[in-house]
Amino acid sequence: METSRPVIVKRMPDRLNQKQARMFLHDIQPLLNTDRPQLVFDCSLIRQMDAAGVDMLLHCMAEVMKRDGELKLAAVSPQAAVVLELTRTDRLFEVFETSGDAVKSFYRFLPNAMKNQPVPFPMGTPLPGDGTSTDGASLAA
Amino acid sequence: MDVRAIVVLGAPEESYETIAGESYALADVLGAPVVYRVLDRLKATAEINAITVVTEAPPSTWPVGTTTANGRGTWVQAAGDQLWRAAEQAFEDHCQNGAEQILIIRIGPYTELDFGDLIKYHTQQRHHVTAAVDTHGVPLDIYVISGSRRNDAAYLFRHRLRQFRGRFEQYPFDGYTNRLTSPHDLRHLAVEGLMQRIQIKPEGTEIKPGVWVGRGAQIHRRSRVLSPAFIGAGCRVRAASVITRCSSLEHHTVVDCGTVVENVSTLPFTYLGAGLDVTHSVVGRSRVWNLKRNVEVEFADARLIGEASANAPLRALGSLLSLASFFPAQFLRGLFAPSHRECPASLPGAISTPAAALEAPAALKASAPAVDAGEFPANLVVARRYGNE
Repeated sequence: METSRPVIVKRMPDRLNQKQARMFLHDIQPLLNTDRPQLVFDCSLIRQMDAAGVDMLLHCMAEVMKRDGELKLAAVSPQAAVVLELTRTDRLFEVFETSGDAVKSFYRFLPNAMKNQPVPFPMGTPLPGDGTSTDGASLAA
Repeated sequence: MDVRAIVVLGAPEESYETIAGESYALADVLGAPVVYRVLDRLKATAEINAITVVTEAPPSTWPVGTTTANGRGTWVQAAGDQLWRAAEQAFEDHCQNGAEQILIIRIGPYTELDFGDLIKYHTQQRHHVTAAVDTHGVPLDIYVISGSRRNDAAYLFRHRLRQFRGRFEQYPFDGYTNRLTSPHDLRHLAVEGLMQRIQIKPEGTEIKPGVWVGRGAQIHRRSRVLSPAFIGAGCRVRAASVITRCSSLEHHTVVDCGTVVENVSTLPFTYLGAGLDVTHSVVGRSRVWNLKRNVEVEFADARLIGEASANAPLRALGSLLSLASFFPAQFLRGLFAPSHRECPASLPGAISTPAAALEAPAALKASAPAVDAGEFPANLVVARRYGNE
């Protein structure tokens, strides 16, 4: 039976250098350790990102894949997009224009969900819990 | 006839026509600064006897060769508001030395106007002030003023070449013009030069059709340079890197191993880190101006995009240090790095087992029809992006 797992949207800080990347990783470590995590990183605030930031993203991707989960990027700022493109990491992630689109994508191709409940959040309808909380993380069930 | 020229390197507004705080006029394009391209054309114009260059850039940022006697004029530095006063003073000095006509050029825009023809037109029409304009009537910041019209010149300089005191004649020009106001314009100028559509020629030896290499550039034999491309003097292109699509690397640029440089112009002394995909950009001073996304990104991490020292001994010392530290680092890595090899449980058993490579791949076993010798297997796909892959 298909169970609906939560999709967690996490907003990334405006700078992703060594220190910030480590702090961010520390914040999301519990989310990475869950079974089959479904994560969306909102990159709209990123203005500066260095190799440590890219390394942290790859580490998160590796951790998520180890647990058979998925990590997607959303609302990637132009600055972040340039760095991801430059380091050839853009092709490793699924990238969406908005966090809502990224959340919807988790439900779009589930065979069991398609049978009983075709699309949990049909295109064009507002998502419950799409707004992010003060700490930058939000849940969409 | 005594004709002299004043070249002003400055913008009518602050922080306009600059890239990383430096005027586009001083930026290198295909091996030489834009201002040198204009000065060389002025030098080749028979009517012009003397040239004065007025700039707000400090002498430490002037291009190499400005202080030597190479006929590229007398350079004068004037900071900030003093720029236009210095230009006015240069006009006065030329008049006192007997100049009959004075050509004033602001860079600013790069045009391929025939200066000799403009002076001839001004003289034949007996105008006092002639302004070169483009096809839409917009001034190109190139003027010829008679030596007797000092007040007109003073008014023009005090209004930063934006207002005239009296009537002026227009000299329409419909040739190549580049306003040089953005990184897009700088890149466009390099591309037009590489495609040989304008008078700017790459400063180097054409080692194969469409590939120019400057003096002292080192290109690794395992790298690929696809024409048209320009590799400036003292550049280093390291192994497995690809330079393609009208890319122009200005002097002392370093492209590290495995990096793809596609449709890019670099500023001098730029370092591009290993394994990057640098595309559709102008890169330099630890910044990337991405032309597709129209965004400027600053890099604090010198492993990605950095800047090499302009000081040659410092660069040599850095190379020496990295070479000296390489072997000890490899030795320590060999000692302390964890091994990824898996030891077989029993050595005789492992030796007697046939190697996995000798067996047919699982995918081939699964495919129904046997593949004939020499026939390409249908279940393989070859992806190819660049010519050398």
